[in-house]
Amino acid sequence: MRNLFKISLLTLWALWLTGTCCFADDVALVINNNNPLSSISRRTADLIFHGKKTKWINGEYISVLVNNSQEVYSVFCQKVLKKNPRQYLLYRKKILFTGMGIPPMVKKDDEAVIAFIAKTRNAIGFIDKKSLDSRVKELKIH
Amino acid sequence: MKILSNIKTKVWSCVWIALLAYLFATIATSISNSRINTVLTHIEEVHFPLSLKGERAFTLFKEQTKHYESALLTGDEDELVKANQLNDEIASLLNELIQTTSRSHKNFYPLLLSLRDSYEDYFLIASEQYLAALRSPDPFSITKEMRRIGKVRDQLRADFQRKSLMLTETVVQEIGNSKQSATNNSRLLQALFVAVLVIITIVINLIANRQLILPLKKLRQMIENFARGKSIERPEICDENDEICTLARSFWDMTEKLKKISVSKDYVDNIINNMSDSLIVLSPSLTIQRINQSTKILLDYEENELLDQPIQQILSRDEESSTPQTLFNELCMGKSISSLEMTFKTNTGNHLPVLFSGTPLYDPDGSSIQGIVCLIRDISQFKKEIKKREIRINYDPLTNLPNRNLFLDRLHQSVGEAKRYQQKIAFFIIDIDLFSSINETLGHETGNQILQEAAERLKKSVRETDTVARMKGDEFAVLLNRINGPDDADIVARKIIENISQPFPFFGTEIIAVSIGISLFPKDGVDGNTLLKNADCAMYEAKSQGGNRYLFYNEEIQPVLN
Repeated sequence: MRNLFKISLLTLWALWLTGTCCFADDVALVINNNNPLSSISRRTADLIFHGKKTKWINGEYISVLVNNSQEVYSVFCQKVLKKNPRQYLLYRKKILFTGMGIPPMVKKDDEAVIAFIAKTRNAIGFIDKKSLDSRVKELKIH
Repeated sequence: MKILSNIKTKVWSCVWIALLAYLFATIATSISNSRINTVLTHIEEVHFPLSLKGERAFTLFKEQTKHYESALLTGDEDELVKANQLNDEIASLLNELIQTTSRSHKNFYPLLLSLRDSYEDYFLIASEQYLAALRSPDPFSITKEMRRIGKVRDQLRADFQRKSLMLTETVVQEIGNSKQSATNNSRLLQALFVAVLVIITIVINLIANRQLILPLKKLRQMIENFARGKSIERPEICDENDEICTLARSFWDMTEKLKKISVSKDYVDNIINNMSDSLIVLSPSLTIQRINQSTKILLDYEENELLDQPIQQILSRDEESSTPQTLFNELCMGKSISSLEMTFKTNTGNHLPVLFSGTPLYDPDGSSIQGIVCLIRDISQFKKEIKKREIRINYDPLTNLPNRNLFLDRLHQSVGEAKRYQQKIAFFIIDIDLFSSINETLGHETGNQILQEAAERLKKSVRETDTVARMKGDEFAVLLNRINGPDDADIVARKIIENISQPFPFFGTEIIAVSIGISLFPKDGVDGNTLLKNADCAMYEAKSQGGNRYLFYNEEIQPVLN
């Protein structure tokens, strides 16, 4: 019985180690370089990614991108949206089903996100912080 | 109205009218109920199923939507199958709705038709696209199609909801209409009941009045009239089943029979008023209670002038005052009086001789006297006749002097009286000398004038208490009562001769002379016949001595031979 408890503890530790080492450490919100914004609140980010805030301050529609890279997506859901990734997926599917709003556009990885934002002025997305480059601007969360 | 002959049919007719009215009211209620029933059946068979089916279809649609959503969210294809399976039921419900409305609800029909078309379009796209989305690795890749379906579904859902609500509202509206209709019917029935009630009340009243109450009133009037002694009309001939009319006729027959065997008041009144004798009914206190027509005429009074007046008002004051009072007191005691001669006084003050009969009038039980029935017969005419007859028998019509009969009667009376009181009487027989030759030469008329004038002069020659009479032809007689002696007779005899010897105005200068024979009572006779005979003898003696003289009887004078 004591052995079984020890094994369990070890397993959990191992899982935690792999999680930290194998998945992305942090995500960054990215916008087009021409976007004058530099930071938004976590709450605003939450609204934007839930499709409840649809326009920038200048009145342009926000084009929301979801990075389908599993690690980045998970970190984003947990850190920014404070949600289970599956919950966010269901939420997006619900929007898709009702047809009442526009679900975020899906990009397969950081590169696809960066490429799309670099040429789209009103887009917003998230990538692994490590993938940040000059083509896009990081939008800080305060 | 022959049908309504007897009371039973009359009463039954009223009952039948009431029952007919009840039947009519029941039929009216049934019709009204049946109308409401029709409306309720329509609601039950058409509107309510429509509403239920509409609601069911809407519910199934919502269920289908949930299944689709579930399928998309979970990626469970079973959910998609379930959603697709619901299609058949929804489509069949919509088709049933369309079929029903095509018959009875033309306004709903196109709306439901369009709903079904929209649903079928939606289902076609939805079943296909959701399957595609389910099977696609990235369902977000067909966001555009998903949005379109979502919008179509939302419109369809709103459409479903609106039409389902419309169907439900129709049921509510129909029920409301039925309620209103029921209320109207109920008011109409109330008005109808009141009208029927008023009409049957009037009709039954009319029948009861005409068929029962009026004939009974007539009968009562007839009985009252009969009781008051008025004449009653013969009732009309009627059906023998009509009890009231038969009763009236029986009553009439009875009165007719009664009339034959009894005396009516009118009849008695008629008799009383047509009596030739006067009838007066007095109260026990001797006031006049009733008079008949003859009394009014006889006494020259109006009825009201006499009624309640005391009997003394019509009694002559000349009657001895105590007699009538005694008489009426006796009548009040129960005595009857018949044919008593009395004198009544008329309104004009004339005294009227009457024959009076009085009878006490007893109560029907005979215990006490109610009044007095007086019968009065006017005998004034009779009295006059008697007087005339008396005059005719006892007086000489030419000279108006007592005739021989009366004179002899008085002579006998005077003789009797003189005997009783020892008085003296002188008896004269006076004969006109040569009267027969006067009669022959100058005629009977002059003779009669002489006789009349002689009679007047004789009356003037004696006292008023003495009697002058014409015995026969030219022979007169004088009776002197209560004389003192022959001298008194002598004086009268001279006076007579003197008065007669005065010239008669119509007789020229000729003198009329008379011969007088005198006999005295009791000297020349103690009875009338003797006195007459002796005076006669003396007169003949005087005549034989040449006339124009008087002669007292004496025994030397020879009796006259007839």
